Amino acid sequence: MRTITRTIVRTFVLLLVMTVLMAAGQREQVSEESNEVTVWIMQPGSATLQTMLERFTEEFEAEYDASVNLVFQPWGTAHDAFTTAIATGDVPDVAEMGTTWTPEFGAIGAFAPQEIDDLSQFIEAVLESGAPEGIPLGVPWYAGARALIYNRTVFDELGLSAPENWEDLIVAGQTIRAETDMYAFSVVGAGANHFVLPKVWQAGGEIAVQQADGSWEATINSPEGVAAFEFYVSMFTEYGFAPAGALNWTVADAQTAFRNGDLAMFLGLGPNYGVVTRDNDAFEVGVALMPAGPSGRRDTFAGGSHLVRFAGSRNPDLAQAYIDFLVQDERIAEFASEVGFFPGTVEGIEAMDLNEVQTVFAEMLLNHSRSYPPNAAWGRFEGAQLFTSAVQRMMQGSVDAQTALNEVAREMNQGFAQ
Amino acid sequence: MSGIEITTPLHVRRRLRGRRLFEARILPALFLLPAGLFVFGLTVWPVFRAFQLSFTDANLAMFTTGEFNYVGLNQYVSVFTSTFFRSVILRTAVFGIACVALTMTVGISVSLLLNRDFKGRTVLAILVILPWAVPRVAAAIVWQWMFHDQFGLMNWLLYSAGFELFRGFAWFNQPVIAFTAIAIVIVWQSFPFIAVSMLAGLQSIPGEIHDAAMIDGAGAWQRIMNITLPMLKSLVLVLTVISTIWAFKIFDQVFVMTAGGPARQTELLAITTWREAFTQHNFGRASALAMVMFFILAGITAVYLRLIREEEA
Repeated sequence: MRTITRTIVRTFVLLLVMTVLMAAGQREQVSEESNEVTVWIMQPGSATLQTMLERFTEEFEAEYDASVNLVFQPWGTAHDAFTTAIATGDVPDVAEMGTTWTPEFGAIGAFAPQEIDDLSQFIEAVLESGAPEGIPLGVPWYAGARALIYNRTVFDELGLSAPENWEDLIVAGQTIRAETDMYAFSVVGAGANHFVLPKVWQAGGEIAVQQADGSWEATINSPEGVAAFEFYVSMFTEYGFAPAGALNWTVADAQTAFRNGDLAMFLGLGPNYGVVTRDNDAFEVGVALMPAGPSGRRDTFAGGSHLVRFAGSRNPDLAQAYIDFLVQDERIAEFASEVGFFPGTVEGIEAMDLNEVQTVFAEMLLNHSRSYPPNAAWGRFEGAQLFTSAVQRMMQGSVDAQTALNEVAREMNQGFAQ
Repeated sequence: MSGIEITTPLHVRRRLRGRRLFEARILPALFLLPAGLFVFGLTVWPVFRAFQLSFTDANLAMFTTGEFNYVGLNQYVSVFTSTFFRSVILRTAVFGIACVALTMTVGISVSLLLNRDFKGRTVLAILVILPWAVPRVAAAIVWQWMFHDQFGLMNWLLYSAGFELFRGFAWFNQPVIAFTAIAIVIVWQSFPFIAVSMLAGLQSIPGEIHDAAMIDGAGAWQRIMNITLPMLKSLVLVLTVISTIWAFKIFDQVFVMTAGGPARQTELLAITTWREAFTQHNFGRASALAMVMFFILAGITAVYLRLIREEEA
């Protein structure tokens, strides 16, 4: 009995010592490994894209005799993953970052500045969103801008042409509602951000303006902002262009309704166009420039992503080499065209052999795209559902535009001041 | 024994005493240490850390430096003076109580049904357990689709049954109706545990007691109220405590089905806590919210435990 006890105790102590030594050694092993980087890329929507990224990574590993730990992060949980990684200090070396997240995490010093020789090569709006203090923290990887996607078959049958401006949009929508069983336009509530905020620009207003001292001030509650929100919500409450449930719709719901032939128009990106046209013989799909607002502007949000190098990277040189490798012209063009977006550079887009549809999306990106204020607080505004809550309350009829936007502006200014 | 102590040399006796002490006290502690560290690391430390953070204005930047500003009770004051946070706490309490009441009612009813001898009872018992086995997020996604305004099964069924109102009915536009839909999902997933637990309790009641009551002329309702439930009072109390804790912590179903919308009107305490931490990076306030929930649940648990002790006494 005594022997058994002694053996158990010795085994336990041995295991304990081994565990401690292994834990200590593991950290040492990581720090000594000089040719390994961890890369977080957003989960691509298709197996083809995932295979392509894996192929790029294998090519990089072969060229640099390096080891890349490529991790695909789902978009839905990526923000939480980045927050947790930064809080615990266990960050990847390189990551793909949503354009509105770059200023948010960049403001706390999470990313290393990017040394870019020729800033003019990049699409201004995409570069601007990654440079909160004028210093680029992310390299634009791919980009895209929304355009009007419409059911061309229905438009042709009704003798309609794609709406050029807000008035045309209302007329076309009323005709569709009167002549068909379809809903006219995607007035979504839950996913309203990228649909309603650009309307402020189209109305001739600004969401927020930067002061001479670098601080930001919300101007979303200006008459133009109010007109933009009122116009957007009126398509739901007054004209009935979308079903009641659209109050909680996201763009995915609008896309499904469009594909099912229940909705005649929605605002989407290249990938959305790809989804609604794939294996769709039921009707023809057209793409047009965003209808212009009263100011004559067609501005829309420049979406896409940056590649960032974390300041806490254990292998900064190799991490930077991976970013440079991914954004080389041939790879970026191959990746962007497969995903339905465009390269983040003007030259990259101009070098593409664009078809009729891509030409419309490219024009939106090159000539009509803008970024939201590149401020650290922006991510918090989106996280608090500041803008979508205002839209949904207006759609519920529980608040008027001016009151809702005054509250939004107050919250924004508090956020900017932090 | 005493003879051995007298004849054994002092240093040997000391060694024997030391070994006995080691085997009686230290060795069990050593065996328990790994499990103890595990429990401490996963439960005690996080609670302590959240409690500590609730007195700071910790944000994400502070985690990178490790330096936090202590702000006393400011976070708790901001929680209780904010109209929004107060409404979230109240909403969580009301919705939680409603879910517990519905879950217990349905669970007990189903257990009484399964306790009867009828053909197909085994099949029904399996069917009852199935919702419990479905992962919460997967179930919520399926139910969200079922409640979809345009192509949801629920609207199609109700409209087909002649209810014109449900053509394109938007279940998630108004908070009360949205909570009704969410409650259906939560009760659907949580009642099987109650039903199975209660069934085990029901089967432990001797049949003779019911037989005697029947001879005395007691009806079915009287037997349930005067025999079954009083005999299972402790079990009902424990199940109520567990259901209450579950109900207050609800996150998955609400997050998937409404994400707290529209306009954050269906947001419950767990989602607000997550939002404060992970989208606002306000870890101090999020910790205060988490501690408020912790204290509410601890209070409820204490009351129930006291009731159980009184019952047992």
